[in-house]
Amino acid sequence: MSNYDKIDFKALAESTNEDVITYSRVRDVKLPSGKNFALITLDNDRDHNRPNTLGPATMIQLGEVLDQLKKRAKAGEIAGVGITGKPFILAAGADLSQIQNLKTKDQAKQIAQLGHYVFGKLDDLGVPSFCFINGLALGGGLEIALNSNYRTIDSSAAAIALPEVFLGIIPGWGGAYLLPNLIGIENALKVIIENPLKQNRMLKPADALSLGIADVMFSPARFLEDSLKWADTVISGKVKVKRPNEPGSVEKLAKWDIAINIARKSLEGKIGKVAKSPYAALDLIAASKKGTKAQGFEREDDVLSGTYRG
Amino acid sequence: MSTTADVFFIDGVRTPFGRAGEKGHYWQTRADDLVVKSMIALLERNPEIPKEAFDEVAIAATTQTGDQGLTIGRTAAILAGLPITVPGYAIDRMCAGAMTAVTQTGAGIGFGAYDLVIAGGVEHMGRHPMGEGVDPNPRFLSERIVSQDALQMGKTAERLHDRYPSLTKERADAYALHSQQKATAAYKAGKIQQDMIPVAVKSAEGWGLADNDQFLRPDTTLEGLGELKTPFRVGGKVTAGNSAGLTDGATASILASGDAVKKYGLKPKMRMVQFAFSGVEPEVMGWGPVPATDKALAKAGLTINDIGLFEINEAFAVQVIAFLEHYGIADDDSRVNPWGGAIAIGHPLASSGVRLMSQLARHFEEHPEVRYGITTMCVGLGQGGTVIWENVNYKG
Ligand SMILES: CC(C)(COP(=O)(O)OP(=O)(O)OC[C@H]1O[C@@H](n2cnc3c(N)ncnc32)[C@H](O)[C@@H]1OP(=O)(O)O)[C@@H](O)C(=O)NCCC(=O)NCCS
Repeated sequence: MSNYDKIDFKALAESTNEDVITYSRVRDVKLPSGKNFALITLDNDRDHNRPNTLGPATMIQLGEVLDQLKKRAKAGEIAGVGITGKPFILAAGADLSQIQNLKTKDQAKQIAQLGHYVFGKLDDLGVPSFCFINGLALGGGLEIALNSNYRTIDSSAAAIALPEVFLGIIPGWGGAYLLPNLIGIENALKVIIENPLKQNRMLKPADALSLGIADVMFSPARFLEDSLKWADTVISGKVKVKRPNEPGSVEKLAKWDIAINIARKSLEGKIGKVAKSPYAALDLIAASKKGTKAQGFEREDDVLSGTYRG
Repeated sequence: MSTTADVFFIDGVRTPFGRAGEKGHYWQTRADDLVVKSMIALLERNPEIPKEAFDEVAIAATTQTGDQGLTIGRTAAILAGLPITVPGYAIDRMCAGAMTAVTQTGAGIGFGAYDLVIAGGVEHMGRHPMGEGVDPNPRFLSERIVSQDALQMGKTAERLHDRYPSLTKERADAYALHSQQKATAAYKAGKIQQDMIPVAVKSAEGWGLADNDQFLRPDTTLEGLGELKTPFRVGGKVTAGNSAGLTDGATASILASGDAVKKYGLKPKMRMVQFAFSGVEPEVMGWGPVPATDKALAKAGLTINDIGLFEINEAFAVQVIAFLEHYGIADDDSRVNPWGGAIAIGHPLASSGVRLMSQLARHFEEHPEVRYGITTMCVGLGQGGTVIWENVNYKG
């Protein structure tokens, strides 16, 4: 298994020279029950016309913030961690302008590893993590949410999607493993492969809710207040979150491979075999029914560096 | 023919009150959002009322431009998710804006025109400093219609000290200290928080949650108060410690007719008995609550001795002790502002009236032996307003 801790991502950050950093700022808020909660705001200090992006320097900072919060959680200072965005925007994913400049396969792999390394921390804080999807969440933006333990969504969020396949890549920061395990095989195929190939169709917040990507939806006027109140009830155990489409072992045994085969045939019929990324995504989704999250993440690393063999 | 309806106060909430300016909770938060969030929380607390049943939304603001303009009662109603069939309007009587929103819509209920209303107010004194954009008619001064001091509230407070020499700075400071102490105790006991709705706020450090009043200073001492500057007059008596600070905040309340109470099974907290507004010389505007209270009591056929609880707005300590002295009530009488007042909590001008009412309603709950209480406040340019309320929990 990859030990992400041992990788030095600094060189990656230096070579990509990210011109707009998205900062991870933390404020403590008091939940209604009196518990202390750390709220991370992602903000690149530009207006909504320049969405938050997640380049290497941004990711390294977020990782450091999460490390500090893990320590604070251990010290009993916080009962939960939330992450949300600047007005109208959670995050629009990796900084694509940079990805196109990547020179080596090594760097591509490191980008994937950095995402897994940092976002993985959201599931290893020692306290529950929440993503409050307050607006646009694309690609890596949505993967922040998928890596969190719980998700709320603003009913006015502009769009929710994993558009990677549309861009010729794959959801490589956990999406290809986490999403099928959250919303089931057929829904995941739709979100990861079908929608991107339909002129990059995106989800509305209500779709994200009914699919089970979001656990609960609130209206925008008091979205953050309501999200914090809800997080409080989850932390205290008053609310038990049920995921409508989370696949059980029966689905994995009976439906998974059939759905994959149908999707593969339909893909071959529609787009032929030249385009690589839809098939790579398909392979990843197929594999996501088995094994650990760490293995899933490693498969994504391999695909992004071009070394994965299904 | 319909008969005069009872007017009930059903519920009231407010935002935490923030310090105006960059250090305040709401520096990056719009004024209309403050009142809209209050209204939404209020509606959520009272789910038995169908939203389309509201007949009116009256929201007060003193400076009605920008995010406090555009007929804020109407815009707030739409933004709070009320059906478009619910109308709304804006009100201004400076500090008594929300109080006037309550009395006007309450009067509409009494007349039989309304069954359910929302009344409240907002003032973002950081975004809209006092006196923003005003253009007083030059006749005020050229014809000496009002003194120059009348336009600056702190100066009117100094003038009140001048007029009644028994109202010393020591008494004002002692009153201010007591207000801080009472508010601190009420906070500790979780009383003030009951009707306060946390507000998500953007700041340079990211999103946070405003859930406290920023003016509260539990560490206040008489010595500390004694050393403060007197910004309104060299060697004066009025200081930042014995006045209400410049505040951002919003309030919202629901009033209902007796019919609506029955129809929707509401639990009223108090009944409006009578109200009155009255004018005084603008340069001693702090005196306003006295004639307003006299007038309201006379109309109600009551006397000051019938009043068991007082919520008086503390724009300035001197204005409160002037009122108390006039009626022979001690400065530290336990019936007066039991949870402290604006000196400790803040005074976002046009929103404060409803805060007084929500708190009086809570005091009534704790004091079933009290039948009547008043909310009263002074108003810029020389006015006072008083509303008399009856305790629905009263057990005689
Ligand atoms: C009185 C007034 C001018 C003061 O404004 P300000 O100077 O911005 O007030 P601040 O909060 O900064 O307080 C001034 C100082 O007093 C100190 N202070 C305030 N309250 C204190 C207290 N209870 N104990 C000790 N010190 C106190 C502050 O710490 C500050 O000290 P600093 O200058 O060393 O920082 C302003 O609050 C005002 O105009 N109030 C009246 C509002 C009004 O007219 N409302 C309408 C009524 S009709």
